[in-house]
Amino acid sequence: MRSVRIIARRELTQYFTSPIAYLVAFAILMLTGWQFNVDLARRVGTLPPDGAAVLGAFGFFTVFFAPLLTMRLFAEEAREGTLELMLTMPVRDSDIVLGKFIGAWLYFSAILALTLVYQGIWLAITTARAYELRPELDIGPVISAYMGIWLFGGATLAIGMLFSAITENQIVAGYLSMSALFILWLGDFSGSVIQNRALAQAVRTLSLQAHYSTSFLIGVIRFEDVVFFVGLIVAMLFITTRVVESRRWRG
Amino acid sequence: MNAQNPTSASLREKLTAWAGVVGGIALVLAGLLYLLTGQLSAAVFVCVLVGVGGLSAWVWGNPDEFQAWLAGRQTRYGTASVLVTVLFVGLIAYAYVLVDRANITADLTRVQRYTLNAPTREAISQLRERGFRVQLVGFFTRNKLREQEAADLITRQYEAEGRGVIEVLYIDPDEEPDLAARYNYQPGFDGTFALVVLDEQGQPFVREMEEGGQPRYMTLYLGEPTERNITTGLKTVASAGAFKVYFTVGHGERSLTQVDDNGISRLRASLEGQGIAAEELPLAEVKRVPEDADLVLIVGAWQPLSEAEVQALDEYLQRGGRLGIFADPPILEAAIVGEAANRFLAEGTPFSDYLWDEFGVRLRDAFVIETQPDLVNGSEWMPIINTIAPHTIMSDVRDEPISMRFARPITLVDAPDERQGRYMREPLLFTSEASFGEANIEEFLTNSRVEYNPAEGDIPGPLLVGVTVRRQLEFQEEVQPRLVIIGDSDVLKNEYVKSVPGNVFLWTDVVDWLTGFSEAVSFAPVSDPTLLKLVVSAQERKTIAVVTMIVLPGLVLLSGLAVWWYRRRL
Repeated sequence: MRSVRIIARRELTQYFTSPIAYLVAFAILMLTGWQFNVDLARRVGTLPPDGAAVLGAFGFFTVFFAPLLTMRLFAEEAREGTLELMLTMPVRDSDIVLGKFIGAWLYFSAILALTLVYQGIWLAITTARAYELRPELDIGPVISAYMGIWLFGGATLAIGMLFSAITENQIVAGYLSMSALFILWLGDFSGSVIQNRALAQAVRTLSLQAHYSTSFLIGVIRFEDVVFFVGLIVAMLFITTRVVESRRWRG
Repeated sequence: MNAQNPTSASLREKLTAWAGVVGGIALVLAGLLYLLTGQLSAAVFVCVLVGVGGLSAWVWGNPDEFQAWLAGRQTRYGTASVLVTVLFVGLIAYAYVLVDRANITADLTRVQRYTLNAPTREAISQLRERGFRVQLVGFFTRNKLREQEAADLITRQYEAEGRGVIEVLYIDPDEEPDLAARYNYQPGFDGTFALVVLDEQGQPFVREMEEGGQPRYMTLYLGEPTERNITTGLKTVASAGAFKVYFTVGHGERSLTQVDDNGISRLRASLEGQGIAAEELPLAEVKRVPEDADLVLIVGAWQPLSEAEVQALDEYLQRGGRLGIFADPPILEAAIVGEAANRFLAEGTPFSDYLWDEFGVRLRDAFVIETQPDLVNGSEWMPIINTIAPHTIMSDVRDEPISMRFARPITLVDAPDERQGRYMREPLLFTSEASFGEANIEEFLTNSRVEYNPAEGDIPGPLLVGVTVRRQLEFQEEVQPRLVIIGDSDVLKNEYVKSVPGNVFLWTDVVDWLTGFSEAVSFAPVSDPTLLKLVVSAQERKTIAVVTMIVLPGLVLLSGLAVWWYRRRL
């Protein structure tokens, strides 16, 4: 575990010392901030507050920015030859994969933590006593939505890592993982596209959004959704490990 | 001489190597097709043939390469790696399926919005006690997979709570149109639920058999899959037989069994569909309204009620009875169909006098003429009911038009005496200002002429054609008689009930108000303080926008710039 911790810390440090990662965080905050204000304007006088609404949009943005965080993880190291060096070190392949993943997930968590500002604003609005009939913020769905988006983010990062391990080109890795995640996102609407109901149902079961928007986002934690995301993360990390490992015996 | 041309040998090796690749892909495709369709279709068979053929060609044409591939390091490691991966992913998928079946959920919402409430559990135990078995039937096409999953969140709880009592069935109307039709699926029902009661064999009760021998089940349409709708449906079933409506007979009333446009068989079906029993009441024979009557309806009577019948109704009302009267204008129908004149509630008859003396309500010997008939199907006999009084009874009618034909105006007492003063008369329906009440019926019958002539007793519009009566608050003791009087019985006939939504709403609301049925079966939602509307001042919104759109992203950007600047200097 020590090697995992060291690799994770190294990756996390790289994120925080890279301007690109700050630009990604900036873009995310601009987008979610915009979404938050639009949602706020829409609700004034018509709807109750919903702390989870902004996280619905965050999930969609994650589909596009998670690949930006993962595309370099293996592809860059493979291109620069440092991955071979790493593979010769007394570290297990799974430790390398796990360490890099944890580093990325911690950075994702840090960006996610910034969105707590929105929840602080909701609480400030709803607990102020200036008006008699202010609604109360339902904290439950906020908690479940954060749990859901955190697992959702982990799954997107794990998928992105796999594509980064498959190719040596960062752009290709980013493009492939973005495409895959977008398809997995749209899988929620498979019934509108696929004629075969059984196939549409199967595609939808694999969809990331299907396990997030109809449960976590509305305040319900379904154990099967937790297992889906954890299982997806574990499966993707396992396959990524196999791909990295294959470098040892591929010709 | 037997040695092969090196070029052709190389070509054969290349071709057979490609055949092997194509064969492998074809076999994978065959497996996928079989998994997706679950059938050994012609396509699967062709793919298997191509696969086997391609691989055979490779083995035959390039045996050395095949042997090397089998024994090669990449193949050994690769195969082992793929097998381990497939096994691992399979285990995860299996765990997911197990957990999915276990249906373990945690509802974090403050009012447990996605957990069955106490009234729902009570309704389910009532069903169990009364020996009912029901089926919740959801209609979801493949376009509504998302909605189906959202519905499943709640229906799975009903199924778990009502084990052995409640079943859930999903039907795709596109894939199973015949089955959907059996459950009375109609366009626009996609994404909604219906409820059916099952018999001892677990089969839905059949309402009617169609010509082709296809059964039509007795369904109760629930609408959107919310706890409120589903539980109201369950309570409706649980209360089956607890409510009984009697329809008087023997005075030329519209018939419950008459299925043509003029009958009211649809009303009976509607009542029975909700578990309310409907029976005929020959008042002249039985002399007394039965104890189990929740409501007595007089729909389209032509003959006047006798003194004894009026006394029976009075006795019923004084013990808290509920009465609905749908009365047509006098004489008029006789002129058209040539039958005996309508004398029901004619002024001076016992029942008319009773309604006036007791409740201060009188149906006039007149009929409504609409002077702007072009607005409503071009008929002056069909008044425009354009004013609906704000009354709880009309909560569902809202803006839906109500169709009447030959309506009879109603007069309320201006200065009620002590007896009449015990009751509250609340207007319900008015005709338009352009209408008037033609009182000179004799002239109409003779000359077929209608003309507004106040001197001859014609009544200026708008005219009251619907009223409710109930006790004043200070007189509401343990008994609370209620009346609804509507100056037309056409509103309830099959022709209008099947085609005019406003008439259906009027009918159901009248029955609800008179019997208290909806109150008994409806599901009271839990009060949720988190559902109040958001209140934020403009100044607060400006501050929030600055913090979230400028300050927060700006701080992150500045941090990035600082890092970049610092690293540049190193």
